[in-house]
Amino acid sequence: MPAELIPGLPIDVVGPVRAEVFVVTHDGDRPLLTGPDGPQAWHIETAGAEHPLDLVREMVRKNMDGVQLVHSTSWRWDRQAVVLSFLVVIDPAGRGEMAAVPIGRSELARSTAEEAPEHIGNEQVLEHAMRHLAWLDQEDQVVASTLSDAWKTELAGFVPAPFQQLEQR
Amino acid sequence: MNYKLACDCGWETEGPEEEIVAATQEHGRQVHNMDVTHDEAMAMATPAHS
Repeated sequence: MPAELIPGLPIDVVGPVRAEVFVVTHDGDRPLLTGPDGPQAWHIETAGAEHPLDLVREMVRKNMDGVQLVHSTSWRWDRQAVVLSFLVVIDPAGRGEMAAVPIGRSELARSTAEEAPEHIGNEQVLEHAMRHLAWLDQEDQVVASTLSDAWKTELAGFVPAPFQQLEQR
Repeated sequence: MNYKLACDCGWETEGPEEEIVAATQEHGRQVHNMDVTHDEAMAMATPAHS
């Protein structure tokens, strides 16, 4: 199959792109992972020409209420596709009947100076996303003004560490 | 004959062929932005033993 550049994507790719969405909320006591598929990574196929962020925003709004933030937090190569990871924050009422589990902590996946990590688990992608959100809360006025006090207290424990992703060889 | 069909995400459906295909196609569009053909749906289905 001939490779075809996909217009409008934030990065140059010639192969398939998938979106992986982590829907999170805060019930006032703790952060929760939820979603229309239950408390797990929610996979969405991209249609090619549509910008992944626009597609994810559309799919999120189609499947739930109370959407507060939609943000791309990382990418990786998995199962012969570029996987773009998104963190979606919804207000507690937006969870409705969707199942949820508390968000635990995890060690980040570490790359070497030149190579990607051999394995990246969903819990590590979510840990990275939460740290990313903590960083945005400090640096981005829109995010800072959107997140609740409960979120801000929670994110104080997720230290952004953008320069610690390298391990020594 | 009834069939069972489970999506990778954990969603499941069970029923006659036309029902599970329609349900799977709806689930694919609504939740995963995927167009699932009749054959693709049935390729994932297994007979339900009730």
